[in-house]
Amino acid sequence: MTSPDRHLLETLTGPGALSDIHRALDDMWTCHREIPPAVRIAMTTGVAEIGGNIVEHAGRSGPVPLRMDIEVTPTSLTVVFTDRGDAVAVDLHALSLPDASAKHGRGLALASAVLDRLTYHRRGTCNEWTLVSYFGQENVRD
Amino acid sequence: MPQGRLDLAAAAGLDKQLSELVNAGHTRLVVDLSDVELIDSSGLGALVSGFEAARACGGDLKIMSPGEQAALVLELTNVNRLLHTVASADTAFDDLS
Repeated sequence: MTSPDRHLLETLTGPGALSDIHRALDDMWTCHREIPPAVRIAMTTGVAEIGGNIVEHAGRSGPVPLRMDIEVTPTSLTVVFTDRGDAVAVDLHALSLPDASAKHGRGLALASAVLDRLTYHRRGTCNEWTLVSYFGQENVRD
Repeated sequence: MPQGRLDLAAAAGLDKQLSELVNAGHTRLVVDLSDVELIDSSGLGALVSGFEAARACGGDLKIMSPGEQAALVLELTNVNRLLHTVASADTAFDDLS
């Protein structure tokens, strides 16, 4: 693979959006069996958290357009979610996991813990979440 | 026994199911995660709710056969300190007998 391989999903937040997201990820896995299992677990976990967060919050007052861009290079896997929901007030540098007995509040901290990079930006009328896991010669995890 | 993805879409159902079991007097629960391919923070929240409900009635909730992803998530969040993993449902509560 000399140039990045890209996969795209365009959907609406709503009851079926999470299934769409996981299906897009599954389709990508079938094309990229070289990606180490640990990276696969990390990205699947991160995508579940961020995708779930978008579906739950961005579409709170009705379905909004959601785009998922997946990019695979020989050393990295990147997923970028773009949605047209309301801006999110979050400081990803100040995340901490709640007590083990907490019933809520783990999602972003968990995503941040499993991914190599997690960023959020408000761009115009869109939220943009970027999830990155590295692998390859200098980054093999398993 | 939950199957597939124990995520935002499924967590409320598991939460309700565990609550109903505890309310019906089944306070010693083992949740078999062997067919769960993914668990997220919502799923963890449902398990913790079930654990708290069982404990409040003098029982307990334990888990069995978590996969690699579930084990990682349980460990990273420290929820494994609450929800102990057992090898078999038959012997899960021998310590309470």
